[in-house]
Amino acid sequence: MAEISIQLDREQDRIYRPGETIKATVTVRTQKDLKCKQLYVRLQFQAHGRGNTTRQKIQEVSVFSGTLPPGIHTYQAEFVLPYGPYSYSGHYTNLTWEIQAYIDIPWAIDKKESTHFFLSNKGVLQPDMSQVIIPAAPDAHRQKSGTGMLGIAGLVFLPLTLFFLALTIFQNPSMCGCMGMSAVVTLLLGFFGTKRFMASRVVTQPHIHIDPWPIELGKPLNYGLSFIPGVDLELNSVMATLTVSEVVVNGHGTNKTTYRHTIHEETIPLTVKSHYTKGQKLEFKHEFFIPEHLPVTFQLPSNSVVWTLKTHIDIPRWPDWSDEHTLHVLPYYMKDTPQEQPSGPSW
Amino acid sequence: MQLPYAHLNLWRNPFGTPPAEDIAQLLVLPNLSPLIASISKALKTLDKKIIIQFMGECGRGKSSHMRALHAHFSDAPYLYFPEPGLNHPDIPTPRLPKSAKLLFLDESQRIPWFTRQRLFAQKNTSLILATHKDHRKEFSLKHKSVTHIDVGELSPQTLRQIIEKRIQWAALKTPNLTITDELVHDLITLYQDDLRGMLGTLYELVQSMTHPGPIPLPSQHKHLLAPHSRHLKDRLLNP
Repeated sequence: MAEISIQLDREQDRIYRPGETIKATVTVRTQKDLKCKQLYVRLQFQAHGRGNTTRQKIQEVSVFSGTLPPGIHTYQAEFVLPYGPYSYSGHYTNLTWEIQAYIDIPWAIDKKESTHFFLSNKGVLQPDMSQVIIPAAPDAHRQKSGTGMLGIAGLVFLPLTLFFLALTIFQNPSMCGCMGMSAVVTLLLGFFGTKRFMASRVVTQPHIHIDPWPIELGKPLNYGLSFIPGVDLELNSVMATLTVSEVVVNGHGTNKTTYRHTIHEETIPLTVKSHYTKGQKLEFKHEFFIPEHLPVTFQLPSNSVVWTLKTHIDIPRWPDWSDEHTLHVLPYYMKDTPQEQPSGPSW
Repeated sequence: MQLPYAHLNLWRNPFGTPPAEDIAQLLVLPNLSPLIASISKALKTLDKKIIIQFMGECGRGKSSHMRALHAHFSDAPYLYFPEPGLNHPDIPTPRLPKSAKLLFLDESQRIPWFTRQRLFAQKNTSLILATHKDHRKEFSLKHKSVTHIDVGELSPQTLRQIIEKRIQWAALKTPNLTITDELVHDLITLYQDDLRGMLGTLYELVQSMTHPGPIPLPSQHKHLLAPHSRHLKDRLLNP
């Protein structure tokens, strides 16, 4: 039987940073001949916890192939570490990096051994940003029109449902309950579907500005909201909420359950109750400070840390207006030379 | 910087969801050798076919039994049937193979009635089923006998073995977690045979542990209990 052990070049703390090289020494001890199709050394990570485990192989090298004679055999492997995802330890999800040695043994159970290390997001040098994958800004307007269509569909079906309800009352009163329920559901669909559409009659030309994009930990985030009231109105409040949460998915299909855990939440009232006149452009600004101890964004199948910025306008006696944007947060990058920040997206 | 569960000598929470490739090593199953022998025999002989039905509620281990058996017959198709009427982009409704000597059908009660009857009537196919609904009547109408296995009974010994295997799997060195008889008793009292519910609660209990020692008792940390168990709801409502 073979025994595998792995030694890293930084056994003391096992902390590495992106762009650095990790060196692993794999030792295989065998007491008899061991046929192996391949002996692989892999750089990989696992996101694990309450949700489904996501394991992703980043790089793999084959260091041996053939028959290992009895004795102690040592192999070296080196990998350059990528710019994330970074090691993370949370409530519902954790992200662990590992070096795995894997012996593919023909006609037998394969042998594997792993050792963990940390890919830290502290003290990371500014990378070539063209090499970092940053998602495009979400298209908020498309979502708005989608919900509007749902509402319009609800409103079209409402008169039809009411007509059939009236017909049922006269023809077959025993079916009234079912038809009544159907009318209520249609009404609710219509209401929730048109809620945004109705709110947008009051909050016209909304514009949200986030700067910089992408956002870095330990730096300020400038948030701006502007809109023009479509009518004379009194607002109860305008709030901006920055939330960081773990979102994990456990199971598949109908057995799927989503768990959420809020890591950080900050709600800022942008205005108090006050009166505004139609056509007067309103502007609200706030500077959020992104604490350095918080995790950066990571989005993997079934495991993610999500940053969102929600805007909520509370309009008395009218459907409220709200909008949510997913932010992409990167670590604080140390710069050798000062660079100009890219401008943020606008919605 | 320290691994999140290093204080317990673990590299991960043992009661989280394991990756698919590690599930086999975590199973605690009864001796499946007689079943394996019967299936092997049925595959070799042309006339004798076998039907095995694992029945039980959600989270009791039907699929685990199936997967453990499937590991011995990995060439046979393993088909999981998602709930009909709902769209599962991640799990498409499987296509039944035209001819197969052995078929593993998970959630067989979801197969449409006509397809099921056609499938159950096939003479050359051995079937291994995991189901919530007893198919014995359907088979008896076709003059076929079924080996029925009720999945669900969870003895304190089995539960302890399951917990121990999980901890061993997540261990860095010698784990600093201990399992008391009170914990096993508590879990069975609260959840009866709902293993999935127990694992959910154990996950939260381990998350709450800041020091090595025995896993806390769920009855003393009711706010951490996994809430989806029917038995648990009954017990909390009628203590």
